[in-house]
Amino acid sequence: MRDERGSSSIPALAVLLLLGVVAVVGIMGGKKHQTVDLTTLTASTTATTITTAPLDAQPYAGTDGLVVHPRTEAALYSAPDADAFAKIGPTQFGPTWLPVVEQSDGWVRVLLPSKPNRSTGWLQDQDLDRASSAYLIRVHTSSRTIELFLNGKSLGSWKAGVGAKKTPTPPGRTFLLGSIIDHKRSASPIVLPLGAHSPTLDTFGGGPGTVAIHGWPRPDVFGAAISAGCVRVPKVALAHLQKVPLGTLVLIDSK
Amino acid sequence: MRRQLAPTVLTVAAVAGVVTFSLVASAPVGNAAARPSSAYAVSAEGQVPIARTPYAESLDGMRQTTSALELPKNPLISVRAGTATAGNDSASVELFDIVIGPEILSQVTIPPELKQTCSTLPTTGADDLPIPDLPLPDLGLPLPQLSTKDLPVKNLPDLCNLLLTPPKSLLAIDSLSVWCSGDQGGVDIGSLTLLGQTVKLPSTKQGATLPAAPLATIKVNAQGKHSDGSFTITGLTIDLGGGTEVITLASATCATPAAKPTPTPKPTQPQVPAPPLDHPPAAPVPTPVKTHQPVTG
Repeated sequence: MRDERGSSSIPALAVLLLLGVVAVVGIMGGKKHQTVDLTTLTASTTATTITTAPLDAQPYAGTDGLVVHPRTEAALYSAPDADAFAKIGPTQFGPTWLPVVEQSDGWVRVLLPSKPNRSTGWLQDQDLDRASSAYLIRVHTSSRTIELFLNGKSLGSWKAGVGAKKTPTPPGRTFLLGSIIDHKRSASPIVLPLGAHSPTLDTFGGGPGTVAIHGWPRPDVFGAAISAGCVRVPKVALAHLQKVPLGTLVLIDSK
Repeated sequence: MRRQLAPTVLTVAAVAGVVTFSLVASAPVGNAAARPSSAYAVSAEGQVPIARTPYAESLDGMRQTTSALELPKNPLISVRAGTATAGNDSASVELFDIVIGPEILSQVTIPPELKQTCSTLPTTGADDLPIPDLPLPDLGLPLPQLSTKDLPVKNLPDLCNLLLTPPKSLLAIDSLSVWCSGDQGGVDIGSLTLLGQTVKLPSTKQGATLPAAPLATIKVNAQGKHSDGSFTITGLTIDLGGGTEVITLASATCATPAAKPTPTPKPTQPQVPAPPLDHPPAAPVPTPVKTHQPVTG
């Protein structure tokens, strides 16, 4: 009798135990964004490709100028409270500054420097430095011009060399990713890499096809569709653009 | 029997609990809408049918992206790169270097009498000469029988120029980008070349049409809402020969968002302006970093 009762309780206890385990896993799972193992995630940089990143839903819209800098390595989520799909480090070429394109309670959605173009990710709004860029850069690939705005007022408009037909400058919104001086490019060492990549070249010159704004020694390229995707600008424009904060929005359209 | 009843009930309850909990725990956050979000770069119906290429569809709200570097072999249209992306309630298409009717005009045999006229154009006053009404040979395209009068030329020298040095295509577009998010969307079109002439787009506003009749009717930025609440935006619709061939370029459909926020009732009192958000400091001027990074040049 005793044996019979004991044996029939075992399945019930086992199931209860299982229920407990499932509940614990469920509760832990619900808070997983707080315990993300960053070492397992790919860092979003100009050299990486993260195909699971949500794409920019408003690729030609402006923003209010908010830019953020992650003080430490931070996880990137596909939506607020959803799964982490990648991470972003505090430095790229210099400090990482990313434009905020959307905000939700405790979360910000930023543009990313990794491939594919128009990648975005959500960051928890903690351990972030916030700043505001009053600048906006516009590139028009048909009229082959670059415009710089400060607080909505034009600081200048210059003829620029843009991508040739087979290697177009990718349309959409991206951002100023870095400000570098590359002495391997002796004729035009000042380079401002953007968050975008060539849509037709997987690699270029040993790099990932990063699109940049930079100078050019000869003026005949300004106003021509001639480059492998980069935006070649006159010296005077470059001097202005070098003062523009990192993370500033760059809107590229086909006008 | 009674002694076994308690553990059995307990077992049943526990199993039900596990099943219920598992169902709740694994329930998806959003529900896929009736019509999924989808996008495609090129499709054609008519004499030269082309299936939607590349085509992306999101049935579960997860983002799907497909790319194609070329279309199925056909005599009508070529593209160099197309990417279609569909997500929860967003979709987009990017398309580069679209050519319709490649090398088609160079195959035209010019009627001998026209060739004769063209070679003996007077040096002055030729602009006033009438355009002869000569039937054009079959272009192998789904177009009605065309005559020289149908070509978009102003005068005889223009016509001679068009036929003797034919453009590379009927229509070429260097880039086309379309996107939607919820029930909104937009179109960005690069330069458009019709019979070798760059055509200035009157507008990319919704429902604009391009004057290219009777060769083609070109509709820009067609938008429409479906009965299930989904929204479709199409970059360009090119109708050749009054419906004999309809080419659709860059079309994106956004399904109804999984959980649409319920509209808040309008306040009866005048709305109090929201308190100003904290003003972040001005972003710093960057310090150039000495490094090497290959960029696209």
